[in-house]
Parts: sequence; C-alpha cells; structure tokens
Amino acid sequence: MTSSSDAPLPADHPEGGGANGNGAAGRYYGRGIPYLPIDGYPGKLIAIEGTDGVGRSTQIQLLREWLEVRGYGVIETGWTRSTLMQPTIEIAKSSNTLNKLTFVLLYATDFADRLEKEIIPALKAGFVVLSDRYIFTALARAGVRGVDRQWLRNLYGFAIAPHMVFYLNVDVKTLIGRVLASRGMDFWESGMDLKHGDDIYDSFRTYQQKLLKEYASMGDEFSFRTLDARRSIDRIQEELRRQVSAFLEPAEKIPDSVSAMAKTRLMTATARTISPSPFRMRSRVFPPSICRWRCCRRRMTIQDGLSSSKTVSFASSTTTRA
Amino acid sequence: MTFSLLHATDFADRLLYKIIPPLKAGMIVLADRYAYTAFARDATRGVDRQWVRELYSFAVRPDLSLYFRVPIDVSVDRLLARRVKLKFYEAGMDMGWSSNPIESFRTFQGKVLDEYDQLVNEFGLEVIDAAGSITDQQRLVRNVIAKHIQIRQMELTDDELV
Repeated sequence: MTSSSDAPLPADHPEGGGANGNGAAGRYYGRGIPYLPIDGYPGKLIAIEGTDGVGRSTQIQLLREWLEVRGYGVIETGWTRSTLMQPTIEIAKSSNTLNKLTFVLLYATDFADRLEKEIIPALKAGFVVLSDRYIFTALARAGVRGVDRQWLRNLYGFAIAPHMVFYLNVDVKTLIGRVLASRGMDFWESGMDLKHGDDIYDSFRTYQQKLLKEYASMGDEFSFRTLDARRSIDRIQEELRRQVSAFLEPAEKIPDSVSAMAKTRLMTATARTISPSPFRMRSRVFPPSICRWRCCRRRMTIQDGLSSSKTVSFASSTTTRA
Repeated sequence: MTFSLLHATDFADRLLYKIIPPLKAGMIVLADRYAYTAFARDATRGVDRQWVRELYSFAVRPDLSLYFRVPIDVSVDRLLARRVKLKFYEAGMDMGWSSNPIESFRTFQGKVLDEYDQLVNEFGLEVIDAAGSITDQQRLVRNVIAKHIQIRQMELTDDELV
C-alpha cells in the first residue's frame, strides 16, 4: 500500500511520469493508482474523441449495438457522467465562480470516479469500454485556457492509455453548420468564459478553432486514429467497425459455454447488421435511455440462447428490418 | 483518488479567492492546514506520493509552515473529550482496516503521523510540540513567527489614501 509495484518513473524524469505517448495500451500513462493494479485485465478500452457536436455519441451508439450483437459486453462511459460529480459540476458551471484550475480539477475528479467505479471494474470483467471523450478533451480544453501542459499531463498520469483512440476530426465551418442545425451554441462550448467577446458566434468559432488545434497537436503524442468526421454517419461507422474488429478479433475468444444454437443466432444477427440497414431505425428500437445494465443483460440472454422477452424483441426487430 | 482530487479542487478554489488576493495586498494569510495535509492523508490512502506533490505544484509555497506534532494517544483523548464520535473519514474508516472507529483512528492517524514526519524534513516544517498547554504552545509559535516577521514594520503603509 505504501509504494507502487508498477515502478513509477523517477521524479526527475523529463516527463515527470505523466500522461504522454509513452503509455502502453491498457496500462497507466504515468504514476497510476498504486492501490489499483490493472495489469493483465482482459477488457479493452476504446476512446472516441472529438469536439462538441462532431457526432461522437451517434457513432458510439451504433458501434455499441454492433459490438453487442457480435457478443461483446459493452459499457459506455462519458465525460461528466460520474454520479459523484455530475451534480457538482452542473452547479459549478451555473455559477460564475469556476476558474480554470477548479474547472480542470472538477473534471479530473469526475474522471477519477468513473475510472475507479466504471472503467477499471469493466476492464477487469472483460468488457469493451467505449469512452465518449477521454482525457484528451480535458487536455485540449485546459490547454486552450492556458493551464500548464506538463502539469496537466502529470495530473492525468492516473489515466489508463486506451487500446484505441479514435479522433473525429472536423473543420470549424462544418461544425458550425451542424451545431446550429441541431441544438444551437451553448455558453461553455462557445468558450464564452474566455471572454473573447459578447458575440457567441464569433466566440464559438475562435474557441472551437483553438480546440481543434489542440486536439490536432496531440494526435502524434497519443497515437490518435484520425477519422474525417465530415463524411456521412455510415461511412464513419464503417471505418470504425473495420478498425475495431481488426483489433478485437485476433484477441476474440468465444466462451465454450455458448451453445451451438446461440452461436448460429449470433452469426445470423451479425450478418444482418453488416448489411446496410438503416442505423437510425435500430437506434429507435433501443433508445439511449436504455440503461447500460439492461443492454448487457440483453447480450447475455442472446449468448445463453434463452428465449427471454429481451431476446425475442431483439430478434424480431432485426428480422423485420432485414 | 476522488477524495484527493476533491480536496485539491477545494484548495484551488480557496487559493485563488482567499489566499492569493490578500497576499497580493501584502497581508498575512494564516492557513489552518495546507497542502501538507493532503500529502500526508493521500499517501496514507495509497495515492502516489509524487503524483500528489505534482498535483499541488500550483500552490503557493508558504513562507513559514508550522507542524503541531502530538502523540496519537493525546490526539485520541482530546478528540473524545470533546465529542462522542470520531468522524468517518478522520478515523480512516473508508480504508476498512477496522470496524472499531477508535482502533481505525489509531491505525490510520498513526500512518498519517509517519507521513508528516517525512514531510518535516522534505519541506522544512517548523515542529511545535503540541502535547503541551495552549499557553506554552502559543509562546513557542510566537517565538518562531517573530523570527520571520517584523510585526512593527507591518503596521505602516506606504499607500496614500485616495
């Protein structure tokens, strides 16, 4: 308990043992959490990064369903979704007392909570963890706000280097169009706290441009797999699936307990999803409001070959669209 | 980790609103606990020592830090004389070392004290023997402070009234 068995980097190490590209996938970037050794956990951590409104959540939802149909246990985690911190962050954002340091630290606390309570247990149990944003969002946002980069990397030294980081890249012009067409510009996403001016449009453009530059500058450092997010939803999803399966399949092991019948059903279901079926329709069958544990149960019933109501509704929804 | 980070957030907030402005105004800031508390507590909870130090590198280094050292027995007696129960976290009950709060307190705070002893050398804390009476301690404190600040000079100001 007193010292890390993961042999932390020496204090005088130039990078100070912080988050940087040296992190091997599935291990802590820097000094890590000494009381939580994670070596050898079977789960996989996949991060989808990108600025506000770039289409991350849509892609994650589609990827999740596809993975689940193929028999993977999937858990999603997203920025500021920690039960401990979400209310606090909302309160803090709504008041005018947040400064750049407390802003960074609240996000880091949220991340630490999700890491300890969601991500690490899921990796231990062999889940595929899809992370909607990862520490790179924090690094980019704080970087734009002038927080010391090395301090930030040291701070996030307790983060786990994902097995894959997808970066959805977009240009500001396209982004503005998308955001305006959907939900409009929001105070924080426009960086209004940076006081670039009263005009939310100008502020959004300036802020997002800086953010995109920050993200781009991290590409090599953290081995981003950059995807052109200006393409259609389906094209991006195809590319995501191609890369994810190329990574997961060699490591894939279908447990022996899965009956032959369940296997066939799995494969049929997979075959159906690969066909260019309307993603959005399936999304409606399983709206995002379905909680993560129910989704996991759904997967398990398929594997066990039980004909529970979940399995039936799942099967029928795919067949009717095939 | 969340325990450590929440305290750091609180500290950052107080640093920027309550500590730095008075320092800029040339005032004396008395801090009841500082980052050293975090160094001792977090390390006891198994957080990486160097990581916590780097985390708090945004803190202002105090001109003078006093460490009131007290044996664990004295601290338990004093706390129990005032209240019926020890607080959950101050007794380190979250570590699950003992279901008995007093026993847990002894184990946990014992480790915290060990950490403090290391900090004394690392950061040059001035140790005050806190087992003595309030008056004795206060005299010690005044002696130490007097070496660092010329109180009389502080009363004059060069600023002109507007």
